This record gives sequence, C-alpha cells and structure tokens, in this order.
Amino acid sequence: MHKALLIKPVHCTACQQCEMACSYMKVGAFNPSKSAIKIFTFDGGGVKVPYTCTQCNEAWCMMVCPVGAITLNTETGAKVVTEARCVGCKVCTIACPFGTINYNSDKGVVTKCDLCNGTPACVEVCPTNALTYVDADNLNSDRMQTHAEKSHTSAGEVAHKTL
Amino acid sequence: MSYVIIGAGPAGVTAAETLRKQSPDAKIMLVCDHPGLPYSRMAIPYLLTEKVDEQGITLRPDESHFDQLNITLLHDSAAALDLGSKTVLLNRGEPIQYQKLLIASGAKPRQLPTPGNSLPQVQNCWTLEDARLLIAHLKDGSQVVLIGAGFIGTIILEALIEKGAKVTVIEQGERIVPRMVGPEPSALIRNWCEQNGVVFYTSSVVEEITEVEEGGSLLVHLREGEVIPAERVVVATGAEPNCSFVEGSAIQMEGGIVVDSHLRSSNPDIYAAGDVAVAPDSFSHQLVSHHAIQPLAVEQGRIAALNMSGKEVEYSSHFAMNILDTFGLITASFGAWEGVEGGDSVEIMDSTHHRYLCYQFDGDRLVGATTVGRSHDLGIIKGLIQSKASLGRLKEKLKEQPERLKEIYLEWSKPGFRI
Ligand SMILES: Cc1cc2nc3c(=O)[nH]c(=O)nc-3n(C[C@H](O)[C@H](O)[C@H](O)COP(=O)(O)OP(=O)(O)OC[C@H]3O[C@@H](n4cnc5c(N)ncnc54)[C@H](O)[C@@H]3O)c2cc1C
Repeated sequence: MHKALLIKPVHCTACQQCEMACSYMKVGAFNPSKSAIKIFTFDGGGVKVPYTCTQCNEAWCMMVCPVGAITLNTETGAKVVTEARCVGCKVCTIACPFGTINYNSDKGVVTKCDLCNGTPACVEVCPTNALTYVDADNLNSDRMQTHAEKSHTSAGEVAHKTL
Repeated sequence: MSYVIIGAGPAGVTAAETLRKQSPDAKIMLVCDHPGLPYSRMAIPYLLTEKVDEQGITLRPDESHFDQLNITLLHDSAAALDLGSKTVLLNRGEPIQYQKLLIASGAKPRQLPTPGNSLPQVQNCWTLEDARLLIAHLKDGSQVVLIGAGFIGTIILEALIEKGAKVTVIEQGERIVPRMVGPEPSALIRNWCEQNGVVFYTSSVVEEITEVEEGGSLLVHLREGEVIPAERVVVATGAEPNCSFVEGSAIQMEGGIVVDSHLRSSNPDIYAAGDVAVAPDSFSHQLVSHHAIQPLAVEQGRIAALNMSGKEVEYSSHFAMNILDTFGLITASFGAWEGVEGGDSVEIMDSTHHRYLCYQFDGDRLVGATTVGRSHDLGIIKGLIQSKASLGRLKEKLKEQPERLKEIYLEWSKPGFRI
C-alpha cells in the first residue's frame, strides 16, 4: 500500500526545516527557494501552511509532458521527473492546477516533490509532526479533496493526501 | 470493440492509452504517418539546440510501450473516410474498419503565399524532417530570416539564436506574439530579445524571396522596400488543420472538425481531438481550435477516449495557455488574457526589470492572466481559471496584492473557507 505525506498545518511553526532539507535533497544546497515544499503564512502570520505536490492520480504534469519525462514510481505513488529526459519546456508548470511543479532555471529542468524515493527528507526533519508519512488509506477528508470539489477538477482524480 | 485513431501525436497517443485503460480487451489501432515512434513536435526546438537527441523527442521513451499496451502502431496514413461502411481508406494498406474513430491528425504549417516560397532554402520547422534539414544547414553565425513571430515562431527563434544563428524576424502584425499577449508585455519581450541581438520588422510583409545564385544565399524582399539577405528562411506563419481526408464526407467542418462538449463530431461514431478539432472557447464561446497548445491536445485526447469507451465526460476547459522562454525571460498567458466584456482587471508593469502581471476577472472569477518575468506557481492561475472559482472577498485582496496569488489561493482552498 502507498504511503502519503500528511500535512497538518496547525502544527506548523514555519521553522523552514522542511524547506532546507528538501532543497538540500534537490540541489545539494540549503536554499528554501529551491525547495519543492513551501511554507506559506497568511492572516498576518497566524496561519502557516506547508504546501507541496499531492501526487494526484491522473497527474496533469505527467499526462502533458511531451517527452514522457515524468513517470509514476509504482512503489511510492510519486510522480517523478527524470531530469536527463526533461527538455525544460515548462508546459507541466502551467498544466498542473496546483502550481506544485516549477521550473529551475539553474538546471534547465522542472522540479517537484518525488517523496525522496520513500523517505521524505521534510518529514525526517519536521520537529512538530506537522509533516508525517503515513498509510494513504488512513487519510480521509482533506484540503486537496476540498479543492478538487471546489474546482471540479475531476475530484476522484485529484489526490487526497493533505490534511 | 474496435477503435481506430488517426494521428499519433500527443492527442492520439493519449487517447490510445486511455482507451486501453478503459477497455483491456479492445482492439486499438493507432495510424502513424511517419516512420519510427510517435514524437512530440514541441520538443523539436530542443533537438535543434542539441539538448536532446532524436530519441529524446519521442512521446514515450520506452520503445516497447505500444506493444506492451497491445496498441497496434500502423505506419500508414488516412486517405479518406467511408462513413457508411465505417472504414478508413489508407494510402498504402488495406482499408481498416472501426466501431469508434478518433481523428487526431493535428495541424500543418500554413504556406507562405509569396513567390520564392518553394525554394529549397525556405523551410518550416514543424516535423522531424524539418528539424533534420535545419540542423544540416545551420552553422554558427548563419543568417536566418524567420517569418512569423507568433508563439511557435518565437519558440523557434530562441532555438535558432541558441544555435548561434543571426536572426531577423519579419512579422506582419503590429507586435510580436500577438495572440498570446497584449501590446505592453509584447513590447517587453521584444525589447528583451533585441537586447539579445534579434532584429525585428513588425507590420512588415514579405513580398518575394529570391536567390542570389542558384541554391545559394537568398534575398528577402519586404513590401516596405527593405531587402534582407539570408542563408536560410524559416516560415512560421501559423497552422491549419490536417483534414483533407475528411473533406467530402458529411462531417461538419469549420476551420477544423467541429466537436460538441463530448468531443464528438457531427457523426456519432467519430470523435476529434487536438489541433484538428474546433470547439467553443470557454470565454468567447466562439468556435476555435486553439492550435498549438499541447495541454489541450492531451486533455482532449483523454476525454475523447473516455467518451468513446462509453463514459460520459464533458470537456469544459477549452481555453488557451502558453508559456514562452525567450533568453531566460519567461512569459505565460492563460484564458481570456485580453479580458471579457463587463469584466475588470489589475495590472502591474515594471519595465525596468522586464516584469509584468495582469489578472482579468469576470465578477469574482479569474478568467485570464498574463505574466512576464516569473516562473513560479503559474499552475495555480490555470487551476483557478479552469475551476471557475468564486473568489468572493479574496478577489479584492488579489487586486490589492496581485503578487500574493499563492497565499490567496491557499486561503481560498482552505476547508471551511466561505466567500
Ligand atoms: C516547433 C513547435 C513548438 C511547439 N511548442 C509548443 C509549446 O511550447 N507549448 C505548447 O503547448 N505547444 C507547442 N507546440 C504545439 C504542439 O506541438 C501541438 O499543439 C500538439 O502537437 C498538437 O497535438 P496533436 O496530437 O493534436 O497534433 P500533432 O502533434 O500534429 O499530431 C498529429 C499527427 O497526425 C499525423 N497525421 C496528419 N494527417 C494524417 C493522416 N491523414 N493519417 C495519419 N496521420 C496523420 C501528423 O503527421 C502527426 O504525426 C509546438 C509546435 C511546434 C511545431
């Protein structure tokens, strides 16, 4: 069974450890701007939300890629970018309705969360358990589902892994 | 069930895969009119710049992909349809029968109506053969005249410059990328390209192309009097649907194959998807193809296939979306970027930094956008437009702080958010 990233914004303190760890995995440097997970604060700082890809089922990014550079890791359920194959056309970045796949101009390829091959670095460093990696089946109602319903983006196809 | 798909571009390939997912036992035949594996036109610029080799532009990297899915890749091309006997006549092989047919034959470049247009040094950049020809003739410092500064022309421009060519662009319209962005962002992109050595002639029409000596260099004559020397001319003046094999049949056509909200043509067993199909635009409601938009071709291929296999799925998000990278300056536009009647907008221009942002609203819904000089979170714009989301009080917040799209989006998508 797949595991999924469970995000509980109420526990997030915006310490940015996840962004540091993620960028280190992605580009080998502690640079939050290169992280595939981002923390957003709003309502004057009162609300903090870590935000990343939910590995949705009918992934728009994967479908739209003109060269098959985004594939499904059947073990983790993650949609993974093969950097050597990505041409950097950026079409996935405008097709994903969540904005969670983005272009890295230094590398000339796109980046997204790939669940670190089953051991997400962000989860390992999160000090408050705002991020955990749990059995996907244990998740029920969630934010992405709400979004999917709101947005008619074929709710069944959109992930349901963020709370 | 037996399905036939004409055209092995992104729409046709996505449809074949979707049909297979839906019906493990169906017979699926994908008619591919070129040798080798299905490839992606939009990856061609990256073949030119040698970012990838020919294998790198195939739509699916695994050579056995279609075999594994038991999809028959038939190397032939459709010559005509016989709707009565539900048959596709092929140019080489025996006719094939279908129960449901998908036409996904894409578009072809529009030809230049100019004397000299058939000289061997004048070419398109549309197919793999075109790319091979161009690669064979381009040297560092080659002088190239590019005719047409639409979206695809401008993508080719970027590749030509990266390849070391000296490029002069001739555009008939008043501005570059006229169907992707408005005058101000267009001027920003132009200025940026000029800083990178590109010469533009806008509001200019090519009257004739002549050879200096046979098979040698060319002269491109403009109506306005200028004569521009070139070693090679690349024509990118738009596209028209590939549907000559449909002509003469009873299928309704209007600048392409007209489809309904389920991507069905006027014949109940025939569907169309991708650049060959025309459907009402989500915002203008006019019949349009939105040529040359890969995400739409893929989405149409998927939805047409679902409908062909008996699922009733509506295709409801027919609006343009483009992203363009000119020498590192990234421009994107979505939907009704020109605005809608009775709508309102917010716009920020920062010409010193080549940045621009514009959101178009209809009531409290986002219906269109243009961004220059940013590359992050663009998908959210598409998501909000496609979902026809009511932003309620967040609309005013977005108008006050257009840069804070992502925070506003997250607030909107929070459970319990009430407009
Ligand atoms: C240089 C270039 C750059 C581009 N860049 C972008 C970009 O950055 N972003 C973007 O969104 N889009 C881009 N596009 C557009 C994008 O490639 C198209 O929108 C997309 O390919 C359309 O897919 P399709 O399957 O409808 O048609 P096509 O890709 O055209 O595929 C149709 C296939 O059917 C074949 N066919 C035609 N007639 C027949 C017949 N009678 N029998 C059998 N087969 C037939 C064609 O030869 C072709 O192989 C670009 C296009 C070009 C040329």
